[in-house]
Amino acid sequence: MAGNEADSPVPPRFRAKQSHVAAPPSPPSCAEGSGVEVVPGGAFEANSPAPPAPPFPKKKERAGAAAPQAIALPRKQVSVERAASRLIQAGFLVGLVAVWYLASTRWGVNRLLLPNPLAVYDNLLDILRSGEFIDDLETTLEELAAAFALSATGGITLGYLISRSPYWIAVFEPLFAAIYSIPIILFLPLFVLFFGLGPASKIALGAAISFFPIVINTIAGFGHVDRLFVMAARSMGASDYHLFRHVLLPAASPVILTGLRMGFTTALLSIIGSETLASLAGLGHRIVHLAEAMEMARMFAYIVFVIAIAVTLNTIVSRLEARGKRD
Amino acid sequence: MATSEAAIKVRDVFHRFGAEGEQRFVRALADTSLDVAEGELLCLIGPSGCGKSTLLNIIGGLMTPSSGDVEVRGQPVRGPLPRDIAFVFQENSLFPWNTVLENIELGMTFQGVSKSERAARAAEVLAAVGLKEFAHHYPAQLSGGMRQRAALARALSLKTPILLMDEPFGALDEQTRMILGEDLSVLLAQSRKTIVFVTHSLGEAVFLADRVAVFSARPGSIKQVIAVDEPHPRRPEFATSAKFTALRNQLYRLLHDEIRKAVQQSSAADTARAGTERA
Ligand SMILES: Nc1ncnc2c1ncn2[C@@H]1O[C@H](COP(=O)(O)OP(=O)(O)O)[C@@H](O)[C@H]1O
Ligand SMILES: [Mg+2]
Repeated sequence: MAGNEADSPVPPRFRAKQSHVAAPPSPPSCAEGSGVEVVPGGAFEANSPAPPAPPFPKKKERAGAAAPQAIALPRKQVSVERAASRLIQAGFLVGLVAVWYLASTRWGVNRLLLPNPLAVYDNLLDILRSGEFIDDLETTLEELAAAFALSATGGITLGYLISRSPYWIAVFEPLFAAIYSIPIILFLPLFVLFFGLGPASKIALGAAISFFPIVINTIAGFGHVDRLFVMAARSMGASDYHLFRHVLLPAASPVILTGLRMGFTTALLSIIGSETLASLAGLGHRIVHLAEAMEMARMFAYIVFVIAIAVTLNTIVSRLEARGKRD
Repeated sequence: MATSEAAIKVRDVFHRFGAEGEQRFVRALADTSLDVAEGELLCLIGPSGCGKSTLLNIIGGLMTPSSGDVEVRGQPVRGPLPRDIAFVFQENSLFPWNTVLENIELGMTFQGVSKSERAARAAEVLAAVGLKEFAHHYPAQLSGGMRQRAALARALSLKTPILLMDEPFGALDEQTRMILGEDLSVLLAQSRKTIVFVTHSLGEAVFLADRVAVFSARPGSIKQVIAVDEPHPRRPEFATSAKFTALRNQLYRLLHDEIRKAVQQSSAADTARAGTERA
């Protein structure tokens, strides 16, 4: 199963992430130039300074730097297209709520299955105003923080150690990729048996699931640094510390940051998911509790709340990732 | 040359990759011996895959030969010698996450050069290669020729007596390479460095070198050494002189058979590989 990537669902995801290495916004090894030599002033005679540099595009526009001027026009089209696609996305969501509204008011879908969105809205306001969500939110976020801290430190440390030897990379990279492709949440009953119904089992499960994208990307990041960079650094007298700080770390960090973002997202999903299956507290627990009590409008309000929290967290983490890659 | 003592001595160096019987087993270098005099510019030329880069890396202490000895300035080579030897690699050896200036300063940082000294030397070498205005650009924002000049600046900033250059202009087009060659000749004539310069361009070898060492096909060893008796810095007119043409033709005849051999080798290897894959 190791080398054959075609029939495993994981490597493609993984590969897609790896492509971040070569992509902007980070300066790394992209842009082979356009093949056209633009030597300012032609030569570099020691005594004749080159003429003033052409105004160079700032970092963000660098992707377009190699492209000829003629492609300037389509950029406007791109922004129009982007606005149009945003509009369609927003329209889709509005349409969904409209269908929901009609289904619960006009088309006679049972209130117990599908509450009126207006009732959900009222419940949401009540939840926010009363602050009754705070305990559950705290539980879930604490589980998330603990799980992510464990998987991030464990994944990065272990990934770095494995990446130091081609032999260990060959052993563990395919192994972890294979484990990553199985739904670890199936082992939730086992985690509950070992760690109980409380937060400990959610932390353990969240850490176990998010460990894999992090360790895999760390191995990929540190393990596939261009040999030429290492040789260049060594030839200039780099110590082990120099090599790590100035070569391995900057070369690997874009891939590792992607792994951390993926790990964070999977930790969030698996923790809320496992709270709905077996727990004593947390947002997922609250939702199932309301479902069992047939308080559908309030349950939907909590679902909306959780979605908002998840989207916010993921946006923050994606922004941090992008910022980390830019520096 | 100034002193008779060789800056670099290579004695019976043999190198192989992998163990016998392994798929990747390659005899890269066979019994190579070579002296490079202090202040000399020696070009290595030979079919691709004959072991030129391997020899250069061995001289620079980046690889340990399977057998044989290398001495640099009287000392046996056991590892990288950052105070004696600086490298310019073929391409893309600048760190893409650093600007040109940061790239240049980093080598000096590794060697513990003080901050003010780093800034002074960086300004000096950037001016020397004509990249002053591009100090704060990232390598990806530069053309191939500019990147190689930045890599040269980084090597020069280390003020080593020896420079090893591995096809530094190999990825550039012919015209750019010619211009860079002329400028390099001017720059290096002033610095009196000992230089080993790998190239696959016959013209570049004759234009730059004091001597040209011609490699045989793999496993590589030196087939013949040709002297180019012409003072530095070389003028552009040298490239159109009868002497230049004669030397270039001589090199061509020497290389021709070796390149045929190398091509046959690689197509034989392809056939063999296809055979094992089918089996
Ligand atoms: N790290 C390596 N592992 C295995 N084989 C290698 C390695 N480096 C180079 N070789 C092989 O050794 C031979 C000589 O390589 P090299 O010195 O790079 O040749 P050149 O620079 O003359 O083109 C080639 O056949 C190459 O494939
Ligand atoms: Mg080579």
